[in-house]
Amino acid sequence: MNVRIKFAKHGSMKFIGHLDIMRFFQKAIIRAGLDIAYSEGYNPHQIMSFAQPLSVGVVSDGEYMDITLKSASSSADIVNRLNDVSVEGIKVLDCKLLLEKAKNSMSIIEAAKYAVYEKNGMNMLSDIDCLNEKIRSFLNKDSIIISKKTKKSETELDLKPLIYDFKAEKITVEDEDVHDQNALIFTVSAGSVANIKPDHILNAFFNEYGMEYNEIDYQVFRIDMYAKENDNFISLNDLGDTF
Amino acid sequence: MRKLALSDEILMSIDKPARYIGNEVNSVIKDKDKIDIRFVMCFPDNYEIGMSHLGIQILYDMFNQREDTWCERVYSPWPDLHKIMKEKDIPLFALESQDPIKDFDFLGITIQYEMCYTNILQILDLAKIPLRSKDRNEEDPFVIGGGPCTYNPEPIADFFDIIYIGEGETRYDELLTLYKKMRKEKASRKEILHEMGKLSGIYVPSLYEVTYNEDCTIKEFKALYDDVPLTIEKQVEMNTSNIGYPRKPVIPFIKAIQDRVTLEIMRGCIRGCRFCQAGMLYRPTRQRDVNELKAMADEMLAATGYDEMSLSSLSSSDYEKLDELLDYLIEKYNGKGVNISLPSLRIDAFSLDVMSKVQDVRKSSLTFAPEAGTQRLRNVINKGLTEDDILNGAGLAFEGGWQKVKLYFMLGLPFETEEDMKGIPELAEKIARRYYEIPKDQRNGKCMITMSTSFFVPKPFTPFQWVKMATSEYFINAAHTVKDHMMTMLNKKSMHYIYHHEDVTILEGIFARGDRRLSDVIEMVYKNGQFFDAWEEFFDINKYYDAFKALNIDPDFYIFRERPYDEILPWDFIDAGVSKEFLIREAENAKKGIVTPNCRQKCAGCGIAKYKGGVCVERKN
Repeated sequence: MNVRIKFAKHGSMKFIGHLDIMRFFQKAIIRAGLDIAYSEGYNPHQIMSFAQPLSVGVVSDGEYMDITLKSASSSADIVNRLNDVSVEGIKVLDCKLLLEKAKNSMSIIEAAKYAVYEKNGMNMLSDIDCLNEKIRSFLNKDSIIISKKTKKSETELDLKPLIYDFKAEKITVEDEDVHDQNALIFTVSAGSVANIKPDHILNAFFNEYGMEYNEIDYQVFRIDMYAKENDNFISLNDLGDTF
Repeated sequence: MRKLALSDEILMSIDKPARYIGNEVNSVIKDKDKIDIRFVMCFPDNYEIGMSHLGIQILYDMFNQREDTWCERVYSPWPDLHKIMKEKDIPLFALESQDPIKDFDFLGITIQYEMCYTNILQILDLAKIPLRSKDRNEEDPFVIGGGPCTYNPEPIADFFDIIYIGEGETRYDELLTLYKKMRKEKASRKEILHEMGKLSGIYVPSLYEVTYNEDCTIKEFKALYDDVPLTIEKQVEMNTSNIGYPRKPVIPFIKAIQDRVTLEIMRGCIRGCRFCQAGMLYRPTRQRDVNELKAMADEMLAATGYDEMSLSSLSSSDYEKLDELLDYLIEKYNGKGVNISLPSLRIDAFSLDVMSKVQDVRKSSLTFAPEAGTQRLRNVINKGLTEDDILNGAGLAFEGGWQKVKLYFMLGLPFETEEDMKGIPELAEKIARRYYEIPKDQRNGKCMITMSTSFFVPKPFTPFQWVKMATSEYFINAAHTVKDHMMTMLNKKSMHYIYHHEDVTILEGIFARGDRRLSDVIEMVYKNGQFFDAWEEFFDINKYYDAFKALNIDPDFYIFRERPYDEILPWDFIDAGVSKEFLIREAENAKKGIVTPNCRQKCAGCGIAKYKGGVCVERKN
């Protein structure tokens, strides 16, 4: 049976990279006593896949890991067991049973929602109305061309059709001790077709207004990740059932 | 949420920030207002190396079992962070609380190899603790050292307030309790150190003075007080049930060098190889109870979720219930995603059978450590491995499907001749021929025999503690002799030869048998900006030669000199259990190439029997 685990990553854990988070969960699953399934072969490994790696430095309330279990108790029991063996900063939020034929989160992810707020008291985001005004004119442009660097070449990309939502509003992130703070919040294309990173949006937006986006002054927070169903974005957490 | 000592900006700008944030699974957090003693344990190398060390995990668990003590960890900041900490004046901090080291009662440093000596100074410097014991005041933590290098602590003695000789299980409780009591009584640092110096196994360097003869040899090692012992006795845990193990090993987020559960099955070694310091220091050989080991293995795997466990000892094949232990582990964990790895096994039918169950035969390689190329020299060093053992083992392995063999040797052993060097590729040739004796249709292509040589360093408390060490030129020539001779072998295409840089070895040799005068050299080199000497990219022996010159100390005195038996050696004040008479007897046996049987075959009267346990009493009950 395939289950989808949703988890949050906060505090000092933002410095732990994706591969190390995978290794963390491989051991946590054993400590929690989950009946995980292994691949065939001489070096069997746990059947596990992640929706999308989270960059070092980014915090999140919407990370997903799909695992295959040979047997399972209940959603609540799995969440509790994993949290009992976890560390401060990594919190399992939910566990959903997927349909037999459901595709894994990595292959269906289409969008991700981010919030970006200041952490060094720069006051660049102090005026929400003004920010929303700027966002409106930013999105009204004919195109938002950025250059995307890969290992081999540099390609041009139009961000405009890949930004699904963009606004400025107040945000509270309890786990980061952030309360009613102004933030830029946007939903952008993610996954294998066109993967847009928050930095792409922020660089383009700040450059538009003659400012520089200095990543060290901002905290990026991934709110959730989505698949598409009948033209609607649906949270990866809503594609399975509590059991 | 814990507040980190380093800002996001710093952590995002350095390599592997996970080294500095703590919060690992099984790391211990206590309420600092409810404890009396804050101890921070340090391995003076980077996080990945330090986290692989079993000893710290044992002591961490042991200290944290005390309700009045909170033990934390610290490792050497990598040079990228070191630079930032210096520039921004950030004090070194412990991983768990992220509090400055200076706030602690004790800074414990394990000293596993000589090349970390400058890193010890880096730790003290970044922690803002005066480098020398004599310059510390009431506010500073007590700096305590332990580990194999402390069997000659003299080159670093001035940097430590206390040095603990032997196994941590026996005396630490007493030491901490004494400290707590004296702190309550408002005793001074000096008074506390004086009292600690009376405990068995505890060496407080400032309570002793060394004087030298004109030729730089030691004239006298004397105590400054009448009530402290003139001999420091090695501490050994004789009740094997009390030997510590980390019940909940701390699991690093990033991959450590040893990324697995380590199960220590035995302490000590019965073999008595004459070059091997560990074989002498960790006597008597003590085997842990097999049922206790099974329970420990289960407990540690459950507490960590690791998918690999490694058995650890100096010579696992000499653990008498190895078959029972392995049967249990393979039965219980094989096929459940847990690998069992078996280093330091003698290659024979039994071990090959076990290995074929736990590893992929085609990919894995077999390791032999003949240490010397000829039987004559193996007798000199008392390495009880014969050519027949090796050829039979390799033959069985080849028939079982293995194709890769690794051979470890040392160059520069006492009484080595050119014939011994040439014996190395000749042995490889014999092994290769054994492989090609297998009919072509039953073997799987070529075999690969890797010869690896390191350079011999004479160490304290071994029968070779008096010998002259080989020079750099000798080492380079010897390595070339091996290589050139390999090229004349028929099966040279199935051979591969690796050897290490010799300059690090020379320095190791100087420190291994050095005296207190060397602390000036270490300090000067550190102050000139060099540390992480164990890392080739940072090591520069010329910085050391410059310091020797500036301080007018002759490094050759420590290595290129045959010491007479009656010379006072810097470490003579330590009683490691093996007697000097035994070591001299063994040194003489080495000269004559006489083999000494292992402890189970016949007691060699090394002196360790006074501890009344382990292998010394195994057959006598």
